[in-house]
Amino acid sequence: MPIRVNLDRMLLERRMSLTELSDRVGVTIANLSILKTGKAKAVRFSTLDALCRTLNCQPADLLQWEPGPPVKDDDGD
Amino acid sequence: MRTLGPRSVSSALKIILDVVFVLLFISIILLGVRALLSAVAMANPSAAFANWYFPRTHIHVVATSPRAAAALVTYCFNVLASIVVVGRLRKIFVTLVDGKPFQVDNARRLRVIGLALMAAEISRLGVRYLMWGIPEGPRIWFEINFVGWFSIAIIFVLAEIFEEGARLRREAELTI
Repeated sequence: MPIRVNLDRMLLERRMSLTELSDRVGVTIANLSILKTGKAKAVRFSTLDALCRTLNCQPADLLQWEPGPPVKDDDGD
Repeated sequence: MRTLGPRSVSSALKIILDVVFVLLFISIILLGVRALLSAVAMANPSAAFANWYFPRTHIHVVATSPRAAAALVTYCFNVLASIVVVGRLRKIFVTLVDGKPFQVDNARRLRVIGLALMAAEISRLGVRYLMWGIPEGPRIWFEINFVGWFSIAIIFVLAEIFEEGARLRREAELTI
């Protein structure tokens, strides 16, 4: 996935656990893991707002684009 | 009453489908008995069950006549198609009761239902063609059942809608 979510790095810098972030942001640990591991298809602005507010950072601190093959649209399995 | 989930319209319809499914299997057994009786009647035309007369409708059926055979074959195809259709519908309704109808499996099941109905319609035309020209047969063999064919078309369209719905559901699940 060309868009990398640097959640681990931000959690380390803010000295916060994933569980604490999950409680404060209101997103389940499972979904945060999906986000962290690059399996998410999309992120809502409301989720991005909650993450930035909780971690006191900018979206650019969390999201990073890496060159690679473009993401294919899922037309069905 | 809710549409999806337990104790909903879907769960009530599923119970009805379960009953219909059992009745269809009973029909298959009765068809087998009927076919057996026809076979025996062919060997012994004077048997008591070789001729059936229905006084209310004044219909006289000879068990070994081509018309009776055609009716039996057509009914066979219809019951088999119905078993396929009701079986797949039951599985679709399970997903409705679970509250997750938009699945790729349901799109596939709808396509199978469409194909089963198509096969039943084509077999009906085939039997009519075979009966055409004989004294007891139809005057015109090519008779299109517009309602049937439109229903088949709608089912295939619904399958595509469910496929797209499944894709959107997958995307929504992976949207954080």
